[in-house]
Amino acid sequence: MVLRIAIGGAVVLIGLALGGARLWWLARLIRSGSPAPGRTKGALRRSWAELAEVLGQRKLLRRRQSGIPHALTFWGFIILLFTVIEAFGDVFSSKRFAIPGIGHSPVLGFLEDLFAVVVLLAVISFVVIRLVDSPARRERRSRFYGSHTGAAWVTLTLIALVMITLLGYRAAQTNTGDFPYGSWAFASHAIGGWLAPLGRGTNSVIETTLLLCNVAVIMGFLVFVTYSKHLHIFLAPMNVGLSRRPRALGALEVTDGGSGARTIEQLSWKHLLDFATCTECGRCQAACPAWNTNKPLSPKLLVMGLRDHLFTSAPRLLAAGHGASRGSALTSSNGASSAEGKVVGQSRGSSDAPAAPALVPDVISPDVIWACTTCGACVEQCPVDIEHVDTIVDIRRGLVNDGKMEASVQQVLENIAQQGNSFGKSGRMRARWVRELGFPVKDARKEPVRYLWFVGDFASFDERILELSRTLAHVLHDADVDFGLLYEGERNAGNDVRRIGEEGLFEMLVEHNMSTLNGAQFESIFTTDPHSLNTLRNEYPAYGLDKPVLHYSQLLQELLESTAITVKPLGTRVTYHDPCYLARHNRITEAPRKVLHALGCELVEMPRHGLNTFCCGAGGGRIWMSDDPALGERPSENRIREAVALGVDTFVVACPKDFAMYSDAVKTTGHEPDLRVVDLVELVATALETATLAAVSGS
Amino acid sequence: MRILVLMRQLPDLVEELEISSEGTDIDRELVKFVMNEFDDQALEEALLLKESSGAEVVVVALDEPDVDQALYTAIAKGADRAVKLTGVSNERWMSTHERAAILAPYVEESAADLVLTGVQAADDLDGQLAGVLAGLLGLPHAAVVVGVELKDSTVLVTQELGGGRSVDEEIDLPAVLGLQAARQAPRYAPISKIRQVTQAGGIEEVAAHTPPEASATAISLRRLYVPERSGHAEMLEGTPGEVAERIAEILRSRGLVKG
Repeated sequence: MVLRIAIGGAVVLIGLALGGARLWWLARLIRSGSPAPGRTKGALRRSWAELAEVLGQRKLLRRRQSGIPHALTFWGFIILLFTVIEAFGDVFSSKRFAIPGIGHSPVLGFLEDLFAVVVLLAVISFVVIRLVDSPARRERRSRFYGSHTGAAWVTLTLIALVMITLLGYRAAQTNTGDFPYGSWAFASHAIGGWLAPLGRGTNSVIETTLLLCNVAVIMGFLVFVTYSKHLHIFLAPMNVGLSRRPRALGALEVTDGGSGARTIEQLSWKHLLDFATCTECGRCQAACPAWNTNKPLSPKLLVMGLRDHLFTSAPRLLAAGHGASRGSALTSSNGASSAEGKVVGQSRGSSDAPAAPALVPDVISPDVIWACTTCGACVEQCPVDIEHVDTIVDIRRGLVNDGKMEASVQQVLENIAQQGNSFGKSGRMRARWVRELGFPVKDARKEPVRYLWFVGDFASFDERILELSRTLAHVLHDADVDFGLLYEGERNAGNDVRRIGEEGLFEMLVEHNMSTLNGAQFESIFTTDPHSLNTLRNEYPAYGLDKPVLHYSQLLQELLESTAITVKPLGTRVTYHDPCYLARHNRITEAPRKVLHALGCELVEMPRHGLNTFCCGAGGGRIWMSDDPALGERPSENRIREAVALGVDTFVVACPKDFAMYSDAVKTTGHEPDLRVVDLVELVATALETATLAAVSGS
Repeated sequence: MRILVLMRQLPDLVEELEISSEGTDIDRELVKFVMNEFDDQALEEALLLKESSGAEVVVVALDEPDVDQALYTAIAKGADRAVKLTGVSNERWMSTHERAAILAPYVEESAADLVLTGVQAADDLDGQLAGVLAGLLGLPHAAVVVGVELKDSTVLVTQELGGGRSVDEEIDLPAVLGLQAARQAPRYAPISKIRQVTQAGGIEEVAAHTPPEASATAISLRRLYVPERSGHAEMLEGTPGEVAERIAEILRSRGLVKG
């Protein structure tokens, strides 16, 4: 007994000391990050997230195959916490130790046994998943590619050992008379039955040995966890609780006035916590349009790389203390900051110790940072709520403020700064497409309108797409919708400018657009471009916009439902591509589908649709960057192949950039003859014409 | 070492230019002005020289429309000082000779070691500014420069000669150079930096010496025309041999080649 206490005590003390020291070190390291304001606001929302995502395993369960065993293991470990307490009690106090208040309820005994068995089965399914999706064999196609698979196998072994020793000592206890649970503890009794022939003495030795082994494995596991990707056991609940709510999509996080992160010191503590929390599960990687088309970016490998860098930078970060972060005290994420004349590019750049390596290119290749389309698939997937896009854009800001970017991007930024549009055309030509409509369109700056149409650059300047703008204008005009434009008062809304990392230009655009909007009279805004919608809806309110912002698909839905538009069913089989900035960033997935339904189209969904949509490759400024053809297919081509496999002949889009990207992609993939790219409004117009024609011929 | 970069503001050519009612100038009312792109090359080269040799870079421009933005952008990119020469009418087109005559006294006073400007501008396609200025000041000059390297009292210049040839030459300082291209593409000035610089102010305003009125070389402008659309394109089809034959035939029929 004394030996039992001595060995058990030593194991526990060593375990706590090792694990505790590591956790303390991690806490100091993460706290050395820059400020991340607003991370504790909204306790109710955060508590709900804990319930849904941690206890409810909501995001994990989206992938059933691995989600179910993970949820069972997670719940199992909560139940098995009771066995841990009991095991420690058995070691240190008395045999037949009972948890005060719960005692030896047969239900507890049953649950403990049940989950011990369930977790063992879950471990087996994890083994199968890892063997089937083996990175050694499947390489880039495996979501575990690049993950620490060795650590994963050790973890699975340790979990299995915890369960085996647990069931083992409990089974032995059934034969030594120390087992406090009756027949409800079915597994312990069943295994006990097999051990019974060994006799009471042997069973007593087995009991003590396995009990101590159980405590030792648990302590060993705890220590191992703090040194491995399995740290998520402790950090995931924290990271989920501190993440942006409702999600790290929509508005972008801007800290320190948008001067950007050039070194690890300048990343916020939340993002350092992200890196430490990553479980390397690879769900982000499997969903990433860049990774899936052979680009150098994997959100997972980026986070892992930054974590490795964080850990190797620890001596410098811990020596510098908390004060060595961003130079400015200003950490508000609202707009009016650069007007205060803060030194961008110097405040954070020059105050750092010279020893700090640049995140780009010393730690991460610029190709990785620029490959991101900011589509948010990674953020959507991540079960522990890592905020990849915020980190990537913060790093981009540092590059842009130092003038480091592709020449084509620089040209576009200069165009937008000079002319207010990415096309580098005269800002006065913005509404020229209106001239050929054959009816006047109101100028919302001069007379009140119900809807203000924020057209956006592509729908105003791209030859192919301004045809679609005309079609939409005709549909609205025919339906007697009271709408108007800002004409040359409109400028690029700045969504992609902000995501390229040009925060100053974004603010300039917002200020200009807001001053025009403030001088216009309207009830709500609708946009053609989901990207414009995103920033107007989620980012402009910080600068004073307080009107509802709709997408034209929502307006069309309203018009169809209110019978302001009547149509004849088209009966076409179509598939629909959800734009990332409509579906994922703004949760608008139903409106375009309802429009298609009202048009009598048969919608055949692509495997990746709705919130899991696959990016066309244009977002985040990628549309202005060059693609290296040597890297393989473009995301848009990958998507077209997905659609072609459905056997439909019509590919419906609801985003000008999608129209441009997919019109090109059907050509480059040779699918132009069998797949027609159409905008939602074209279908509406066709159905309308049909209806009008029918009415005419019927009269 | 002081490097002067002379910058010109030009109507933004993405705008649709219109001729004013007098018929001798473009309508300047609604036109936006931007910096001459070749002057941007000159500025970039000057900034590269500053980085390699620690020279002081001073940008100089006449008080032309939207010039402040161009000057502040230059400071944001790394120019040490920005000088605006005031007191010159900015409501009409200015000939390159006139411009050179206004700039020359300032350049002389400024004790510059090297003067860089764009090789040409949309309203100076002959690229006269650098040459005329050098002539007025009696300084050596080189045009179509694509590389500059500073020595102690000379400058090593790479000049493009056309036909794929270039020449390296050593020129005594001070000198005036017309830049075709800097060694690297002009850098980007982040808007936040430009705004911060703008807020800090710092453009030096200097009264310009007004040149003697209409010198002998001055051009008198009678009327501006929008280029008239004329001619058409003919697509030549067939094998390369047939196309070549057709081209030769056209050239012969127009009397452009003999035989």
